[in-house]
Amino acid sequence: MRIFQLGHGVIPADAVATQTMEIDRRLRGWGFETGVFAEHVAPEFRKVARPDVEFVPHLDGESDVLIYHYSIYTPNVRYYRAFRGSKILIYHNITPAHFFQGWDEHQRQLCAVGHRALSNLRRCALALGDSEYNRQELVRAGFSPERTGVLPNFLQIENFRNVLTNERLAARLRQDGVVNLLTVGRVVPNKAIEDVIRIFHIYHRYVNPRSRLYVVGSRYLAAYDAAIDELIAALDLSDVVNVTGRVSLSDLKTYYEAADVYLTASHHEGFCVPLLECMYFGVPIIARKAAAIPETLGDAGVLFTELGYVEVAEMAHLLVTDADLRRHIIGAQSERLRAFAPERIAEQLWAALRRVGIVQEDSGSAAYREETSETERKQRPEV
Amino acid sequence: MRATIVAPEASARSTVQKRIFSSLGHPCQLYVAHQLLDQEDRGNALSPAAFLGEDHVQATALFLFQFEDKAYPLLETIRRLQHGFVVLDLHRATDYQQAPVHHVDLCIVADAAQTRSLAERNGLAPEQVLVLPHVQDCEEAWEMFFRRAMQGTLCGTTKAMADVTMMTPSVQELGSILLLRDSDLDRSMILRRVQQAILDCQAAGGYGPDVTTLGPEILRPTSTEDDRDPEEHDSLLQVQQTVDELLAKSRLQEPGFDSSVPLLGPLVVAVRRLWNWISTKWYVRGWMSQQVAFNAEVVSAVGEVLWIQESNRQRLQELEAEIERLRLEEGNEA
Repeated sequence: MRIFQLGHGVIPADAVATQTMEIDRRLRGWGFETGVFAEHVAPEFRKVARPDVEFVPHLDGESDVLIYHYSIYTPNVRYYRAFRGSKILIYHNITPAHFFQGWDEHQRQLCAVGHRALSNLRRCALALGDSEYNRQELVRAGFSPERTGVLPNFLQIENFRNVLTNERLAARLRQDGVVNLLTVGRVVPNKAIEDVIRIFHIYHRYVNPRSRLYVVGSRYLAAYDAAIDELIAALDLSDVVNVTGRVSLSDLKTYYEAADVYLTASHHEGFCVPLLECMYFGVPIIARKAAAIPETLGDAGVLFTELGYVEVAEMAHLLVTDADLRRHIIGAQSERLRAFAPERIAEQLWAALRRVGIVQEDSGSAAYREETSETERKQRPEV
Repeated sequence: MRATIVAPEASARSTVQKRIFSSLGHPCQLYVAHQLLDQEDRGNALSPAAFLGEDHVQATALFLFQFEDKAYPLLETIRRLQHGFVVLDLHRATDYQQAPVHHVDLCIVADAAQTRSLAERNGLAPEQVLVLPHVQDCEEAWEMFFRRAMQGTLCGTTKAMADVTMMTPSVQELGSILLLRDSDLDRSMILRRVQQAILDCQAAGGYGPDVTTLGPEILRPTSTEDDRDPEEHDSLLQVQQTVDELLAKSRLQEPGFDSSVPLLGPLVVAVRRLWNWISTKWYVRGWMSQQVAFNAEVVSAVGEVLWIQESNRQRLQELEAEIERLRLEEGNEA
């Protein structure tokens, strides 16, 4: 039996691509023949993933399995529909289209149609959300609840372990003992980067002038980028707010290691992988209570609701200055990270395969353990 | 302190607003212009004079009037109110011509576009307008607003948004902004410390102007609604459906053989099936799979073209509408 994966893109620093590759690695570890296909395959992934059109010869493989990753509308959705074998849909959520209104018309359309098309993807053996929030969205779209489930994202700790800290960057981040606030993610409207900057403005101007903000993530919406730059200039923060653009894994690790507080004001997240990364690196989190964020965070970290720029800024300061509180929050976050330990996610993946009859044994079986133990030794987070 | 909500008609919005007010411990009365809701709520049988004479109204500290494009008799009482903090909820308004925006202390809108419109057409200053999400979408934001609006002595004063937002939050309010869900934490102690920090900063001069009013207009709080025409989505879905149908047809199907002739028929069918199996398995099926792959690629390419064409058609329509609007503006200016 072959298990294929198909999706929108296999590109660097992308949560869906990371999940796809990790699932592929696990499946191969369990002895399956696999293949990964996507509409967009970045050059560095061409050895492990192929363009979606090459999936066409496999459409009639009735004994095969297709895991389809749905995160935005892509023309290869028709391959999912046409596939004759067993199908598992993994829904990573689609950003509501209105966030792109006025910023990027094409992206807005893709998101709008993607949302509308979700209910047309119901013909599958199992539909998984990477959070309960996403699973509920599947049910609202008409998927039968008993054929849905949750498969959280794998946190690829190994990747961070395998890269070195960028010492020059680390020295720069730690110079003068300034407080570093950090936010990680694509610079897009639904992440409300403007709110992070506003909160930082209050923090820097009225609470702690010895502070900087790092916005780490790729930039590709020119209009939004320009507006963010204009806001930074208008608030006179150009010297202390650094919008880095996409960074290497080594630099990302360095930013996490040097961060004093992680702040996200995102309005919409289907899962929010950076929260897990903060838990791993011991960075206290303050996050907007929106979409799947409260679920991913559990009882750890601090959530905030609307109209609270001043309150959030003061809370951030308390997390920086109160060592006991900081230690407690970080400890609770580490505890929360255990819920996302790779072996647990692997068990959930195995259980999903079992639900659709791809494997017969449960995750306590020798077959599962034998194949999994080696990869787990490398993957287990030190929490 | 009492609160009064006046609405043109009964709606889920006013019901939720009333519930939030009541949950904060403030007696709240809802007056609707077109329908008697229940025993507690008073309808349009009440004349403006009778409304103003009501004990509850006279003791009201906060009035919330809803406006939806058209004036109604009770709305006119805004001009005659001599007390209370008066708020006009314009969430569902698109035309403000009949809205008494200059007779209230604060206008509430759903997005920055409405704020701009009020500034341009009605000359309202930004501090006279507060952007809040729809009450059904975010009750917490409204609860916060109501709490702050009811704090202090509102009677007979005109409070701008900046004053409202810069009031020191109570620990209870802080608890609805900062959510500490870890039961091992001493939440009230942490919130008190945040509150003290805010008090200290305010004593030292405060946090400056409302940060949401700074920076480019386009980044100011906006509505979370998608105001696009649903037909647009449908036309793109239609493209998707067409391509799906094409794809279904692109796969070659082997014809079946059957015969109704007794005895000989099944034999002929069996021989033909065997021959077909032999010939297609080793010879024709190779060609067929090549053709199927080619067809799928063609369908995919056609799908892309149709998709782009439809997107461009929609964009063209938008641009034509924009050109028409600019022409009209130019004509008016001339």
